[in-house]
Amino acid sequence: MKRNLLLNQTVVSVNVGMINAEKVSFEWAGSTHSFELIQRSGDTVVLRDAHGVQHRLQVTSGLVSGCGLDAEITDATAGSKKKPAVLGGLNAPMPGKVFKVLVKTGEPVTKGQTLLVLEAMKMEHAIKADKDGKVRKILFQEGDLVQGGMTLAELE
Amino acid sequence: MKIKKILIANRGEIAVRVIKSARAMGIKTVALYADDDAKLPHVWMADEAHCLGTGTLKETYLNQAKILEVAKNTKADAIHPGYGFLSENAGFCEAVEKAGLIFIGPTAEAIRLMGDKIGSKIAVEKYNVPMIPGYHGSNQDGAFLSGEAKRIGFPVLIKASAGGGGKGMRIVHAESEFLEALASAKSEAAKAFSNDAVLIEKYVTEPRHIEVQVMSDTHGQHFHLFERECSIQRRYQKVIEETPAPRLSIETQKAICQTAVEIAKGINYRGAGTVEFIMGADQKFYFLEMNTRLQVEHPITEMVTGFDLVGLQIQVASGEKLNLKQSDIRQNGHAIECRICAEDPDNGFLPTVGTIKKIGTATLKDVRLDCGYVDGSVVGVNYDPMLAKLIAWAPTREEAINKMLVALDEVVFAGLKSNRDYLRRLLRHSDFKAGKTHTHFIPDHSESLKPLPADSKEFAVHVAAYLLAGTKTSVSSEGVAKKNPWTSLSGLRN
Repeated sequence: MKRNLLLNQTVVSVNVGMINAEKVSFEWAGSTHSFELIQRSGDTVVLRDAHGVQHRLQVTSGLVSGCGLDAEITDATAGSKKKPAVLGGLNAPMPGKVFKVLVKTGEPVTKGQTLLVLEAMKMEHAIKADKDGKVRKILFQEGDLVQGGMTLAELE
Repeated sequence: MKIKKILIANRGEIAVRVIKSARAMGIKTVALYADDDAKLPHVWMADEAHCLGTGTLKETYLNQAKILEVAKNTKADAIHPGYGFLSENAGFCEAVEKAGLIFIGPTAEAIRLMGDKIGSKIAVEKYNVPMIPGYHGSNQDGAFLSGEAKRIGFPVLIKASAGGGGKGMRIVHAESEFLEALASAKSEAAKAFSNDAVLIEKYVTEPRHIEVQVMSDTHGQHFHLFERECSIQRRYQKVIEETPAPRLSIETQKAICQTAVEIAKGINYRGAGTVEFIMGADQKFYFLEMNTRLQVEHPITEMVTGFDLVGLQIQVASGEKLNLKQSDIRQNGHAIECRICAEDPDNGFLPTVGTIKKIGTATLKDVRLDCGYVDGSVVGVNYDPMLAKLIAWAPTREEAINKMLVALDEVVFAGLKSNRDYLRRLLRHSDFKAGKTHTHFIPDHSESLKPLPADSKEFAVHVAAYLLAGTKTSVSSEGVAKKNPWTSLSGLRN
């Protein structure tokens, strides 16, 4: 039975052959894997694979950590795919404060020109025009607090 | 004068750190907090806590008048400034002492002397301290500077005198490129700092950042507690630190530690300090600057020497003569520190925010977590993105790396994206394992430090764990809890 998962923000597909409370067998990355759940104590999970090798992992709130790797895993459903922060786009890549607005409505700008500077965690992030154009709208003023993903400026 | 109560003018992990040592010494503590920090552990671990209100840093943690008022009202004997914030503010040091309190740190004079990059270089020159060959003068004529660059020896670094952060900086490898690079650097400096003056310095190849911990008391004793290597950096921020520095000859180690002590002695230093050097592949080292405060990475020195540096700071501040000889201070084993930060290294290292669902616990012996948060703490945009320091000690460097990798599996910081996975990649990198550390490590190896693709076979076990024991409810980015049908199967053994 095919299941779609979101693993580290990428949609992946796993073909589950069989699953019950203690055992699972599935196809992944070109081979078949079987694991037995040996122990579960709090967030610690111990799995034994088909060769008898044991693997200890922590499973907490969407994060599976162990064996030297982290995997953020949830079921993939429409809308659960996170949009990666668009660097250089006109959205705020992170929550912060509008530090400086460098252009005005109606002003012509060139690709790569800095339109605003966002300040967060002592870092400055320049929001640059992604194409030549004219400033249609600057949606915030200096001193405004913004959330990640919010549109900061529109060009036409 | 015996210190009975310390006010900590800081927050987060360093405030917790100071409270721990003070408690061990039977000294009472007063914590300060801005309104949005009210639920953090440094607040409720202290014997008293006072709110600094809301507002900008200037109105809270940097508000000298408010801090001194609380100190007066709580009858604190001394103030510990931590690191950052007011720790290297000479004016604050003076204000504290004027108010009749003890400043747990150096004198205002030492802070001022070492606070100026150029001034500190001039100050230490007389102690036979090796300096990076360079020209820092006012003659800005192109032909003259080109001659200076030749004298210094290529490659050279052209740096803007008036600022930093990489602006107005150019590396020049040959005489033929010099004038063009100079013009470009000057123009950038003029735009960024309204001052196009530049200085020229020898460019050290494969530079390593080696620093030495010093501790001076008020009875003329100046000690060193050996060196730390802090070369694994990103944008001038340290990521991994370790001690002893790998691939360092005994002679060089002796020389660099002795140089640091000579500086502390020469300027009649007081308290804890760190002398920073740049070292080339040829093991020649040059003075960079001195930090007149306790540093973030001090725990690795503590793990290897067995000393409590905060405790020593308090003893010195009380006027005690440290009952020590330099020969009592020895390095035992190896310690590594990883800075766990709220940032996404696979997405331009952008800061992340969120609520810490679970920090986790390191179970191996000699692994220490210095953290200023607890489960449930909210991490926002207003302060430094460092969440915690994870420190591992072992008899050998290889074992310390192994312990750290196990610890990174256990200290999960679930609830927000952190750089833990990136730290693992750094620790497992063949060049890091071989001790080939230098300050360009991260940019040089950026390709090989990329994460595994999501469909890699290495994730089979994680997928299995999710399928068999994934959380009963999963929370999407919209904050709506969804039921996971596979884990609502009954009969799951506990």
